[in-house]
Amino acid sequence: MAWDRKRRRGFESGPFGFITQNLSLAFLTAVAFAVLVVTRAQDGIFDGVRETITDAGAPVLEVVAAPAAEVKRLGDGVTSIFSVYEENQKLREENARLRSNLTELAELQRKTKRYEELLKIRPDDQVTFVAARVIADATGPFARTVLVNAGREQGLTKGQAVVDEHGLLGRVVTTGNRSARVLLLTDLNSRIPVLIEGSNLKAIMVGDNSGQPMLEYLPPGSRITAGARIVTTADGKMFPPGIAVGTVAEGKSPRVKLFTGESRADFVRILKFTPSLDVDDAAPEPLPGAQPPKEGAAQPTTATPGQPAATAPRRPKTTPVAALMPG
Amino acid sequence: MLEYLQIGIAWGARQIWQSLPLLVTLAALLLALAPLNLFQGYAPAPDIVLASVFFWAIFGPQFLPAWAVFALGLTQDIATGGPIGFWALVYLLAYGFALSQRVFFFGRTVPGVWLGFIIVALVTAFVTWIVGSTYFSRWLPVAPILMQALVSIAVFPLAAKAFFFVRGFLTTAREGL
Repeated sequence: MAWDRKRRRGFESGPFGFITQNLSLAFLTAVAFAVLVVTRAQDGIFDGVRETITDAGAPVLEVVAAPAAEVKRLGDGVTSIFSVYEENQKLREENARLRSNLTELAELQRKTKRYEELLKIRPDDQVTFVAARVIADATGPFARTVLVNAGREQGLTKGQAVVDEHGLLGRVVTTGNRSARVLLLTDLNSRIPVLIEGSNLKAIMVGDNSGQPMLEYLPPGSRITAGARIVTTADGKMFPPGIAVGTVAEGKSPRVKLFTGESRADFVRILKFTPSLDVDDAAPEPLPGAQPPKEGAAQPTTATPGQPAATAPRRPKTTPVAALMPG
Repeated sequence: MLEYLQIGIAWGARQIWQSLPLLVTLAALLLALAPLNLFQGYAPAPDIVLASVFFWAIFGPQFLPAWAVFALGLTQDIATGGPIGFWALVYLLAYGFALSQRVFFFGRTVPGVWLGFIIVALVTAFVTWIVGSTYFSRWLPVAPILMQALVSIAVFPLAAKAFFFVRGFLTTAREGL
C-alpha cells in the first residue's frame, strides 16, 4: 500500500503539478499545430533556419555516415558472394555484347560529329558536375530526401539534377554552405518533366512516396508500352536532357520503374547545367499588328541604357530557324 | 559565492543527467539517419522516437517532459526535410495519448506494454496519415506509413530493453507505476 502511495505521488505530485504537466503538453501541442499551419500557409518560411541547423549538424552526420558506408559495403559483399558465379557469367556475356556495340558507337559518333559540323549546330549545353557523399538518408513516410556534403561553397544551387551510377536520383531543394538537401524522385513534392523514348511523348513524373512515381499530364489518348525508356527533357530548363530515369512499369496506371531503385549510392554527382539559349528565350519581336506588351512584362529582355540586359549579347548565338532551311 | 557556484554546477549536471533519455533518443535519431540502407530499402527504418516517447510516457514522464518531446519532433522535422511542426505535433499527440492511458499499464508485464505500444503505434499511424493528408491536401498512400508502424512495433521490445537500461541510471523506482 505504501508502495502504491509513493508511486502515485511521483505520478501526480498534487493536483497543481498534474495540471501544469498537462498544461505544458497542451500548450506545446498548440504551438506545434500553429507552426505547422504557418509552414503550410507560407512554404519555405523556415528554410533559412533549417539550412543553418543542417549545416551545423552536417559534420556530425558525416562522422556517422563514414562507418555506416563501411557496414553497408560489408553487407553487400556478404550477399553478393553467393551469386559470384552467375554474376560473372552474366558480365562476360554483357561484356561481349558491349564490345560489339562499342565499335558501332565509335562509327556513329564520327558520323554525328560530321553532320553537326555540316549543319553548324550549336554546341551542346555545358554540364559540369560535383561529386558528393550522401551523409544522411532521411526517408520516412512523408519525405524522401537525402543530405549530401556539398553546398553553396561547391557551387550548388536549387534545382540542380542529382544522379548516381544508375541514373537520375532527384534534385537539389535547399542548399547550405557545405550541405544540401536532395529531394528524391519518389517524394510527394517531386515533379520532373520527362520524355518517353520511342513514342516521344512528354509527361510530368510525379512522386507519391511509393517506390514508383506516376506519369501525369500525358496527352489524352496516348499509348505507352511497358518497358519504354524514360529520360529527362530540357523543358523548364531544370535538367540537361537525356539523363536516364527509368522505364515504364507494367500496370494499370502509368508509373515509372526507376533505374536508381530503392537502394541508394553512397556517392552522387550533382550536375551543374547551364542551358544554352533557346529560341524561346530571345527577346520576342513584336509581330506587326500585335498588341504592344504590357509594361513590365518584357522587362528581362529590354536593355536599359545604363544596364545592358544579360540576354541581349547572347542572342546572335542562336541559329535562326530560317537559316537551317534549305534554299 | 563559491557555494552558489557549486550549487549551480550541481544543478546543471543534474539537469543534463536527467535529460539522458532525451540525449539517448537524439543519438538514436541521428544514427537512424545514417545512409545504411539495410534491407535494400524495402523495409522502412523503425520510428525510434515514437518508441521512446511511448516508453517514457509510461515509465517516467518526468525524464522526458513535453518540451523534450517537442524538441525531438522539431529535430525530426528539420532532419527529414518535411514540414516543420509535423512530427512535433504527431509525437505530442502520441505522448498525450500514452499519458492518458497510463493507468492501464499499472504493473503490466512486457507483453502487456508491447500490446499498449501496438495500439499507440497504430493510432499514431492513423493520426499521421490524417494530418499528412490534410497538410498535403491529397490522400497519401497508406502502405509506407503502416509498414513503418509495423517495423516500429517489431523493434519496440529491443528499444524498451535499452530504455530500461537508461532508466536504471536515473531511478531505482520499480518499473511498474
